[in-house]
Amino acid sequence: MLTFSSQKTHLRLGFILFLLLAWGCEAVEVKATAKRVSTRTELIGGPSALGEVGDFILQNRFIRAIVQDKGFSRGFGVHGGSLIDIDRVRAAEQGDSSGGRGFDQFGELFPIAFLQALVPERVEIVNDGSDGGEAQVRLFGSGGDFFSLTKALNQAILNSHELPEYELDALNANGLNGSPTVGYDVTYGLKPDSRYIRITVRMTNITDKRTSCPDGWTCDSAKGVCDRDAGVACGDTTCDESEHCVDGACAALPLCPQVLDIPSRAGKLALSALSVDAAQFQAPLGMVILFGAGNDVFAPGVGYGVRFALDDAYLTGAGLPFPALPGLLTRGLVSTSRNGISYGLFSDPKSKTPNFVQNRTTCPGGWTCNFESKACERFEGEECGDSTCKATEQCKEDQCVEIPPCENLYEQAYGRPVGPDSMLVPFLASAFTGVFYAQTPDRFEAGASIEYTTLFVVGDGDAASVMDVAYELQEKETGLLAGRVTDGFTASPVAGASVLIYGDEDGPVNQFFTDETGRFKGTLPPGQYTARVQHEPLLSDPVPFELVAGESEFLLLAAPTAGRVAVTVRDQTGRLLPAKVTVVGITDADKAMLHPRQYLFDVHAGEHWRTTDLVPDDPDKPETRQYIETSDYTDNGRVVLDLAPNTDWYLYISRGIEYSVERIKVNVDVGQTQQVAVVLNREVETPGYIGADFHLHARPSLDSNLSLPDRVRSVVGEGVEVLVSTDHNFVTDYQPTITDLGLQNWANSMVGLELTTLESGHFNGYPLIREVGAMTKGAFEWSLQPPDTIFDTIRGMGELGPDQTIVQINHPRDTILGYFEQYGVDPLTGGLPEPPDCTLPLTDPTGCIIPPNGSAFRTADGLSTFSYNFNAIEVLNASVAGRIHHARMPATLDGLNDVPEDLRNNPPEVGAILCDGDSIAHAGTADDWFNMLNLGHRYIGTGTSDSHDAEDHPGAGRTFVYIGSDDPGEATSRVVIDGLQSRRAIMTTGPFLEMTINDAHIGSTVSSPGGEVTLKIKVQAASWVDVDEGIIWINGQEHSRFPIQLNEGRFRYVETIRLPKDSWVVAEVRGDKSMFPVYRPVDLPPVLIADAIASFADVLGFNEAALGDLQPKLIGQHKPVALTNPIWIDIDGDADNDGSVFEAPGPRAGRCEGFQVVYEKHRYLPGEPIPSLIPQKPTLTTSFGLPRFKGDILDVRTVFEQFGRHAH
Amino acid sequence: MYARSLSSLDATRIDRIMRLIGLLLLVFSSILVEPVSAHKARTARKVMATISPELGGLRVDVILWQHLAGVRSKRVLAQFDLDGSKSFDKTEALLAGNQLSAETIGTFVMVANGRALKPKTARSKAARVDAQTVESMVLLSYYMPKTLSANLVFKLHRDDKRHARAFEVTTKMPLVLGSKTGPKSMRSGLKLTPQKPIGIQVEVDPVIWLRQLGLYPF
Repeated sequence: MLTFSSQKTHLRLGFILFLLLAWGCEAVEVKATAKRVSTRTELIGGPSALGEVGDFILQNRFIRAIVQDKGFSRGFGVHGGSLIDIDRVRAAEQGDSSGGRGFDQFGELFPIAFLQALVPERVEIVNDGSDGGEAQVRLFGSGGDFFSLTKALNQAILNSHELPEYELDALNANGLNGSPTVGYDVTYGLKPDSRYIRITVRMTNITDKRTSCPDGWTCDSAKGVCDRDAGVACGDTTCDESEHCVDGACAALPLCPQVLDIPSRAGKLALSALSVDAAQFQAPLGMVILFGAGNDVFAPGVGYGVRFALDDAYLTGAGLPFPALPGLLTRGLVSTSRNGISYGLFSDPKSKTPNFVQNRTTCPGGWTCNFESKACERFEGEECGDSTCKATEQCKEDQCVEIPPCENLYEQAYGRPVGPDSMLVPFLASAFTGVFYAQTPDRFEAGASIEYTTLFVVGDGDAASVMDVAYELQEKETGLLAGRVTDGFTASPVAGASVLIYGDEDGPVNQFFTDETGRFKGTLPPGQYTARVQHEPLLSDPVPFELVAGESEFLLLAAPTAGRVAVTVRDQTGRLLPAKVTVVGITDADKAMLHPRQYLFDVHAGEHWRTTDLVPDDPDKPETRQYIETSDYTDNGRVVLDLAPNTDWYLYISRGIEYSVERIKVNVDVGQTQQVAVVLNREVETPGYIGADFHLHARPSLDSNLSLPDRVRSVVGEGVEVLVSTDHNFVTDYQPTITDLGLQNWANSMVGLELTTLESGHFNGYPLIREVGAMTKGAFEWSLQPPDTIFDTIRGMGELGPDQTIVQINHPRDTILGYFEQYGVDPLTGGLPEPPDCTLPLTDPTGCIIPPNGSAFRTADGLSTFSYNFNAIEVLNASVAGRIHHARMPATLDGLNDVPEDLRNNPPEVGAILCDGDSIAHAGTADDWFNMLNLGHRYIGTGTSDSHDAEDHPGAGRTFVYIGSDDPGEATSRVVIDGLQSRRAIMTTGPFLEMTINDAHIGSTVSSPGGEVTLKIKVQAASWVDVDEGIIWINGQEHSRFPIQLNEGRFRYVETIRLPKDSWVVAEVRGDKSMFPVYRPVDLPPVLIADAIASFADVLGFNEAALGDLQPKLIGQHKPVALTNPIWIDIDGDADNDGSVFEAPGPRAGRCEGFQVVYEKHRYLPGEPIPSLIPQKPTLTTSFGLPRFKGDILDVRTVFEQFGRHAH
Repeated sequence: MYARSLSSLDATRIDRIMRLIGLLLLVFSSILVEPVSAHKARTARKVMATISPELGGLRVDVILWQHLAGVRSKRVLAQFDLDGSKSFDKTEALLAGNQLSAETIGTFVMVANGRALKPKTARSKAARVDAQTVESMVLLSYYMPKTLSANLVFKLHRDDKRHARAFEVTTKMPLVLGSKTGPKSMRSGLKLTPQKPIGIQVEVDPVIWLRQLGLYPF
């Protein structure tokens, strides 16, 4: 027992020990370091980690970050040198031979100038941090294509490369091979005690590196070439002013330092043509950030739902005068996650370069706004008549006139203040978010530089931990906010609740996650606030509070309490079933005209999206006002759901398209649990077939946040029996997860990959070998690779060898992501267009100026690299299920308001393929597939879900493959691939469709010398799946259409067909009734990369011609549809003696006339060159002089040809 | 939704822009409309030219047309209606055209950038309009490589005593007539006379060019 004095002694000793320790600690110098990764143990690791040996790592005691070495990006971008991994320093994180053990879930961050990224030429350590200062890694490079199709636009705007002298040439992408005129260097810096990476981007006019002109020459600094007054005799000729004489031959003038105009002359020409004052134009500079789907993006003042805020910003900013690009304004972009890591991107307000947002003012071109006096100024007075104007005056008619005070265009449009740290988010597409805040100068002297700085902060998971750092960097006064969240029913602490702080703006300005004890803490600028607690599925009412600078405030908040439903699902035999429970609610009758987003849930507070039935709301009919509150899957027949209490909910229990659906109404009290038990019946028999999904994503894909167990659970719960993992540029294996979940009796898997290029298309490969050790498990570099190389590489990874590896073309018409679309496959024939003639003036502008270009698309000789060397086409992709066929003329235009008047007055034939100008209006994959079958290719048609989430549409697209067994355990890779290669496969969203011809099954080649065949169709569908019509396609043409009326889920159809020549036959059935709520409609259109480009292009006036309401919709209900693979019928017994029993019919020839395709009777033989089917129409523009000769005939050659034809 | 907002943006902007353009077109068209009397005037000789971009250069096609009536017409008809069918078949039209070509061309010359150009090809035709009338036409095709702009002068020799010729010129995208030879100077119609050559400036119009590329909003 210690006495008082001994206690004092111990206290003294303790104090001395403390001082010694403190002194000792001070002696330990804390540094930041930069080094090259030499072993995998040094890597960060985590679900999105991409770092590899040879990259560069920056670290201090708080954070670690990896900058990729030069080369191609391992992420979604194109070029190396990006920030690819970043995480907090964690305990016990030492990695091993497979990599680090941190928790990086960040995608990628790289600088962008307008739409130009940069190509790193070298990356090096500038300061390793050993001096105790900022550790720095720097990359050096030049501007490079991010999207090749914007190459011409970028170079014209940024003047970043030597441009051809003929200025219009500057917009011809195929002629742009000039050396860089602008150099970039990017410095990633980390200080010893900072929680952020400082990224400084510097652009330098590097033309000062050119040698000076020879004696007697002068440097034309505007053009950057050495010049002299007159031409020079050279051999037998005289060189003109653009040449000089070298060894008796005229050669291009030598280069010299150049003053770069931004935009370039060609860019100014383009802008002036667009009625844009080039003097007012500065190109925006900033960053592209790929947060990754594991992170929820949050913007202060907007909260979550940044996408919708951007949507609103486009509407609000519709009147913004160019060059003030519309977009979301913010002072920072943050991401949060419940995985203990958050990120924040901020513009450094101390950047030396003017802020792009702040400088978009009403001042005339060449003037700048003095933000304090609000006066438009320029530095030199203007001579005006007899006087000199002041800096704030402009000379008009020899009089100095005061310029009106400047106003910020964004403040005018959006009513929100802007400042030197304002950021503009003009696009947020796929995983890419563009953030701009700096701007280019008007002129760039040789050797001059500009730079802008970005701060990338790392937090603990919530926004507040990031904003704490941001407030400090922004030198804002703050107070301390702390609090605790308890359950409103039990008063127990609530961990993981989201506390949202609202200020003056509509969305939350900050956000906290509570810890295990329900507590939260952080700083806020002083002011009046309210706090709300978001705890799924509920959001609390706001609680007001005030925070004073330098003081603290404590909040005690109550989280709202839910009710609970526990569901047990069994089949007829009593087995617990993997299944899905979908909870449906009814929206309020008095809000029938509103979207539920406006009153039912708050995306800005982080509440999840509620999908509606997409049925026009009727206040008197509750069945028209349904929405999906939530859904969940079970792998063991038991599901527990938290629901808002005292509300009527309808549970739909399902197990995919082969089983019945049960509907049960529930209403639970606060804190209570209701038990529900249901039995599902198998209603569709698929003997010998297994249901496979050849296109699935999970967390290894940058755009998915679904864990592997949830992925497997969701697909097996839909009754899919073969799961093929196809993550973007990452090879995943589901089998260990299937085993862990004990689902071996229900499902099997194949290893696959979705090789994802930015512009050349998406290609699935399966079954593949998963490489052990490599970061992406075998995915490979695709940039600049032609399709044949990509296909060969995929096949080289094949588990069963190249011949047994399927290369599947995914969503081939999906804008910039579609292979057929990007390579210009003719939607009428399946053929390829002729290479564009790019001699000036260009007659094929889209083929020359904004073509996808580079070695992935064109050979050195200018020929297309398109390859037909693939195996399968994803004909039915649930993400775009409404766009299977080319857009066709509907039976009626009733109810369609936005239809071109000409079309309405002169409507095409019902069912005719619609044209928009001279080309097919909207191409669909099934018709592409038909075209290629006509060319003699036997591509396998597949149906897939392309699901990225448990709540999008897993199971809504699948392929039934005949393997001769119903046991998923027997569905090995080899068996499934054999089944696919036999073409005995059916694509479906719901119906099960079988077809025979002369009793031969799908995929067969049938010999029928007489030409008469018997076709039999058998349709099955579960009781909730509608099928009402069938179509028989023969050689790509609709042969017959017949009504379907299911009798106890069954239907049979028999037809005798007389075929005059070799033919292939495909059957299709469809239903008109929505599959809601089992398959939720797409009521939120995907935001595609093309939209990102459009966000700039649209402002510049680039627009697609449209057919209004006749365009296929990006949103819509999931409806039943199924297609078989073909049966090929040989009629002529190999009449051509070419060894091929089946003679493909060849492509159909046709052209657009008016709004529809008109086919010619003639077909071209396979191999025969297909002429240009849609000839260019000569177009005349101007005609001045006397009255026109013979009406509208203006071309004198035509006049000459017609002359005398009608003479007597 | 994002995609919907872009559409809304299109609609708003394009509607406004189209109204503006519509107004401008209205103004321009009112300027360009010629006097009614010009339509009624019957011109015995015409020169029409179409200037097109081709293989990176300029192609100029010129037709010279003349209308013969009266005794000369009857003589030509008698001379070349070889089968007495009261009309010209293809062969007869070519023969008559050849006969009349020198007369149809007369002293016409096209000067490009200060140099008289020779046509690359010349074709001629004649046609019987009715028992009293014959028309002849010559198509001259010129080509200037590696340029998309030129100063062209169409002229007749000063000793040419015959009637003036009505003149019309058309350009194909993206070529336009330069501002000096634009709508204003031509709105009342042009006549090519020995005393008054017609000079035009041909150039690439960036607006039209970008519109051709699909990069122009209107």
